[in-house]
Amino acid sequence: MRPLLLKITSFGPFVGTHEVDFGLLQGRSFFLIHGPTGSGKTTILDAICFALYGESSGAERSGADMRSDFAAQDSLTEVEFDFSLADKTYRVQRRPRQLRPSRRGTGTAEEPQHAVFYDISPDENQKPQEVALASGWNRVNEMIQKLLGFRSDQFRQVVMLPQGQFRRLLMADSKERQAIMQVLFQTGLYSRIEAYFKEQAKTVEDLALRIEAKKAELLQEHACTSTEELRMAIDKEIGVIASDRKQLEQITKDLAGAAEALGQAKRIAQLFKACAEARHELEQLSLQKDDIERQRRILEKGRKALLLAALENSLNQRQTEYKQIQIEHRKAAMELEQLKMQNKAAQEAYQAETDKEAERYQASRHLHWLHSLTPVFEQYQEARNELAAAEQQRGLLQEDLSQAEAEMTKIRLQREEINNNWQTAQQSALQVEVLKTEVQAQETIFSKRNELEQARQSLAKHKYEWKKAVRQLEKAEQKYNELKNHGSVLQDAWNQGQAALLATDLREGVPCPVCGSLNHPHPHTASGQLPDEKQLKEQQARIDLAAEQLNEARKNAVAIEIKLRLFEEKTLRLEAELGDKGSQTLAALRQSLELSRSKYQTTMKSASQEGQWAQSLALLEEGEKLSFSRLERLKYELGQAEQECASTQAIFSERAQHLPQTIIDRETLQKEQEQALKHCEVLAQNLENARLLAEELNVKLSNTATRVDSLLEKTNQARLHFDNESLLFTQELHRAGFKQQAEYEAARSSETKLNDLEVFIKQYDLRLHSAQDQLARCEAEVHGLQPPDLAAIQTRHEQLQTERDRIHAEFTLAEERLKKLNNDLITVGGYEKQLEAVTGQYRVLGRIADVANGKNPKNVTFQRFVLGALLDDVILRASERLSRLSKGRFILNRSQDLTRANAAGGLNIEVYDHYTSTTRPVANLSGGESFLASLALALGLAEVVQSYSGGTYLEAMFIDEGFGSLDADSLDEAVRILFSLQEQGRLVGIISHIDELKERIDARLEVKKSEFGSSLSFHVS
Amino acid sequence: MRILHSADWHLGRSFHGYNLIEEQAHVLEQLVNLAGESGVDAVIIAGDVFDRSQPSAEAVSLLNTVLTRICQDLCIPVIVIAGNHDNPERIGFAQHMLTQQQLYMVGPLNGLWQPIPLYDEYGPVYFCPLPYSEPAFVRNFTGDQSIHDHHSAMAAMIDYITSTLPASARKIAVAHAFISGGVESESERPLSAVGGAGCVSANLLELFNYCALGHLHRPQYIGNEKVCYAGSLLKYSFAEAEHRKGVTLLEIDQNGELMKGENIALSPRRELRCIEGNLEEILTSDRSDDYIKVVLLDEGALLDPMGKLRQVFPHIVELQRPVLHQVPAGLGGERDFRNLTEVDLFRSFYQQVTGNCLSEPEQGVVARLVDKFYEKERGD
Repeated sequence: MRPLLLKITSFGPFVGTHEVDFGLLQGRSFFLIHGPTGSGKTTILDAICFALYGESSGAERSGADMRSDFAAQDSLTEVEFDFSLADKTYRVQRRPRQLRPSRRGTGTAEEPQHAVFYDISPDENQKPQEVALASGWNRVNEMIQKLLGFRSDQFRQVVMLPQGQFRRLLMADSKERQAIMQVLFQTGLYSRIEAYFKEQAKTVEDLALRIEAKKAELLQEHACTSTEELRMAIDKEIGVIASDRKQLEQITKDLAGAAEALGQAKRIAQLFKACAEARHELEQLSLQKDDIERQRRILEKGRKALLLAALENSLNQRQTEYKQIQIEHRKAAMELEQLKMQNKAAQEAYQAETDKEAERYQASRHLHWLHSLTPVFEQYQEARNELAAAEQQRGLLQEDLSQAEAEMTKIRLQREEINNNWQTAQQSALQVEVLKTEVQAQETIFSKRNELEQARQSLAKHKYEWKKAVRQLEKAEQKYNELKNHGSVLQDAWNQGQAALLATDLREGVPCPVCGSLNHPHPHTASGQLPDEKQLKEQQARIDLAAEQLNEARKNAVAIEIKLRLFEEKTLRLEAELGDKGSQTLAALRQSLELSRSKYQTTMKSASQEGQWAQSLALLEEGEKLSFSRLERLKYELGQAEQECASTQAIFSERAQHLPQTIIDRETLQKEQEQALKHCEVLAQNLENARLLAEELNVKLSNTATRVDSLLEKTNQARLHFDNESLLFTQELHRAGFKQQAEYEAARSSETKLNDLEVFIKQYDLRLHSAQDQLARCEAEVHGLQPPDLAAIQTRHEQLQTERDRIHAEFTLAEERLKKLNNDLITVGGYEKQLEAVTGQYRVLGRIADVANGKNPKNVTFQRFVLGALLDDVILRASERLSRLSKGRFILNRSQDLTRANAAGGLNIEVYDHYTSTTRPVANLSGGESFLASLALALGLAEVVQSYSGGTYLEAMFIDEGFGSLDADSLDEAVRILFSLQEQGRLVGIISHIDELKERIDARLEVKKSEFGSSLSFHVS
Repeated sequence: MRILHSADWHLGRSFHGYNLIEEQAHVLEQLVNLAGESGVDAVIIAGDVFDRSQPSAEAVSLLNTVLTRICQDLCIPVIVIAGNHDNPERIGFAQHMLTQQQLYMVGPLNGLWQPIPLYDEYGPVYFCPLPYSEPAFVRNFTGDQSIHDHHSAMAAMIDYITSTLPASARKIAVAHAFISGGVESESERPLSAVGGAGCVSANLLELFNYCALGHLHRPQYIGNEKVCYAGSLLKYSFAEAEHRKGVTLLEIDQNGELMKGENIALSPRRELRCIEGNLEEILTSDRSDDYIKVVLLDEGALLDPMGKLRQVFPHIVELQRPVLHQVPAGLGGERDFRNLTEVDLFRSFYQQVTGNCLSEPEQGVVARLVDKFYEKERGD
């Protein structure tokens, strides 16, 4: 897993969004995260851990606590982490549960935790893409765990060595270490193989047991416990079968005889029965004879009644007809009454309408009047329109007038202004000349002052030089005097020396070459050193040199003095010329000069503008004149318009008088007209309606009266018919033999019933005859026979039958049992063979499985063995590094205590100290030593994992502090070793506050702390 | 002109826990006396005066003593440049004021960085200080963005410093770098994280009459005697046990030719030695206060060897037992278990834990089981 980019927002002490782009490392694999305490260095590792697993690196800070206290309310805490694994690139985004301001209303709402996991490997065309692989906190956790292979606590032990907890891998007990190494090297395969072996062994064992069980079960069914017993049972069974067979044959014979006898007896009994039956029937029929006679008589009567039915029907019909007509008649009479009343009412109404003649006349007159108003109204409307137009015109004119007045005043103001300007311009022109002369005067003064300044300066310089020259002169003079003195001294000495020389030649009595005396009382003795010629000459030369120099100096001084006097004169002259102006500074003079110059410039400018002002003034005066004339014209027009208005107003008011008050416009007039018309029409209509109604009712009345009369006649006729018919009927009834109506009623029944009755009687007759015949026949048959004892014969037969069945069943049962026993014997044989084979298999398999699962003298399981070998490898590499780090003192060993029966032991680490040749448990190491040991172990582990292709990818490693516990030498060595990792392409990030590391490591991520949160910057040199 | 060339003092360094400040003081005393007696016109220290960028108080104090004696008492100009162990800004403290006293401490690349002229009777000899600088700083200073490694950085620095000098002038370079062809020992701190990128090739130095170099602790020449490493003051690791530590004394004539250059040894108080042998023999040696590394060739276990040896060598610093580093008994000879099949692994496992071999039919069973296991896994 190699980190590529980390983006954190409002996380820990980081406000806003900060990015850590690991790509900036440009292939360097070693970088340092540094910053002051509490700036957020560990937070960066927390962020990585959190992004991957939802927990912080030390597992001490929970995800929800990671929200920054500095963050703005609306900025959500979020971590986004891009990393590459194998050939693919992934991105995971996470937000912990946090409060945020609610979108509706005030207060806060809880934002739930959120996680998304993307695959952002570029597709075939190298274009980046984002494919979401999982979302939701737990799903993302699962997916990442599957990809990386680590759980979060394992990740923290191997990839991140967190602050204060780097010792965990070192200190872990065997089981934990086993779990980690299992994940790293994917030796889960071996534990699965172990389990599989065990499973297989168990399966085989189970199989054997099952076979055994089955065999026992089978034997149990026959109440045997072994194969021998089974065989004996078989033999027994065979004997039983033989005896049963014999018995069966015997009884079958007996049964056949009994069956025959039974058949015979049955037949005879049957005949006797039939005889008895026939007799019985005949008796029954005789009893019914009387009944049948009665039925015959009823049949006769019924036939007669049928004939009379038709007549009865027609009589009923007549009755109904009569009743109907009666009802109709009554109805018609009632109607007539009603109509009479209605007619009377209608006549009255009609009369009333006719009386309203006067009203009608009134209404039509009103209508005529309204029609006449229409033209008057038209005129009135016209007058009103004209008035409105005239007023509008007047209004417009007024507006124009006021506008024109405003313009007029404006122009006047402008003119005055320009006049003023022109006058000022004229004045300026006058001043120009005066100013010019002033400026010139000031310029001359300024230049003179400048000169003065310069003169003063040179004066000073020359004074200084003159002083210097004077000094030099003095020095030269002094030197010359000195030398001269010395020269004379020397000369004296020489003279003396000469004298002494001469003195040596002096003898008493020889004359002195100098004075000629013969006595030499005090001859001069040489004293001290005698200078020689050369020295004298030299001195003289020096003196001459000095004299020359003196002359030079003197000349120099004089020349300078002259120059000095000249400058003095010049200065004084200039001062006199300037007078008091000379005391003013150059700067002040310059300023006043500038001022005068600028004043002169402005005056010139304003003077030049005079011409322009004059021109514009003339233009404005013309404009003013035009505007004034326009104003006059408008006033005249306005007067006209007023007049017009007045006249139209008069006409309008006159016309208005002709109209009634209520009618002010066309619509009302029309409405009134319509209303009046309608009223007239309504009245006319009413009259007509009443007349029509009265006529109609009259006609109806007469019609109804005639109808009533006809109906009365019909009623009477119907009554007559009915009476005739009923008389006829009664006659017929008597002729048929019925004395009363009631008898006839009783005898009447439908035709079908009568037919049935006839059939029934016929049947009886038939039956009677056949019964008689039957009886005669049976008696003939049983003549001379005896009734048998059927029951006894039957029972005997049945007994024999049951006996035979029983014996047969027993026989079949025994045969079956034998068959089954034989089969079972074979099956059991088969089981025994199988069992043998399986047991053999199990022997081998069981042994192997046991050994693989740790049941061996060393108590080591297969997986543990492989892990042990791996751990040895890891420890070897780690040992190398530790030995280097501790300068050959410590190495790591795997502890060999396998005495515990627990198969989970054997992966412990201990430290061997060369200096004392003893082993120490790792818990006894000091802080710095244990840091070195953990570092060595982590590096060794990473190296071994990398070289096993089945292992997970550990391309990055982070070390959080721990360097502070090392002294300078160890720190040097540790950094050196970490640098050497670079060649293996692994990314190592360390967090430390040690300054020295800051200077030695060239790729640094600096975390700066401020009161508004922390910030990140990458420095790569 | 006579010059004393030294380098890599590493004042304040500790060696296996022992503070070497006393040893360094002892040797520097000899150096100062040598400078006085040989009547040199200049002393050059080519970098790594301190061992850490924030040196300890006693290291600073020692340097103060030494430089005061050479500069003030002996009135010899001293040129010191910063090395990769020093912090340039700290070395350059009071640079301007110290130059008035003829102590030239050149650290950072700034406006004061310029050639140092020292005069002899024939005229000036220009000393070009080339203190160790990270390529990034050189890039910033010169504005040339193409500088990315030490070689190009050195080239740019040389261009800059010699730009104001006439071509015929006598020039001496004082540099702290790893010139290709040089031999490292264990105690140098690598200049660059990536292996060879810290090297500078020697042809850049051809325009100088002499190059006084520092950084490599072994006294050596690169190519010819003009390019010289003075070597470190003391032996700082056991790999240097055979080196002859000291200073280089050289003389330049009026044409810039190197007249003579010799290496003068300085003797430390305690030597660094490496002793091999069996414990019994070594215990019979004479007692010595030197810093010793002992390599024991005994094969068996020993009781407290360090304690015993400390009786004879109170300053023993390292103990090695090469014989004990064996291949542990794990898979026996088949260490690379990646290439073993499961059956082989199991066979060796079986043997290890039960002491018996797996018979042929049993092996067959195991093989079949493993095959079935893989089938099952694939099916899942």
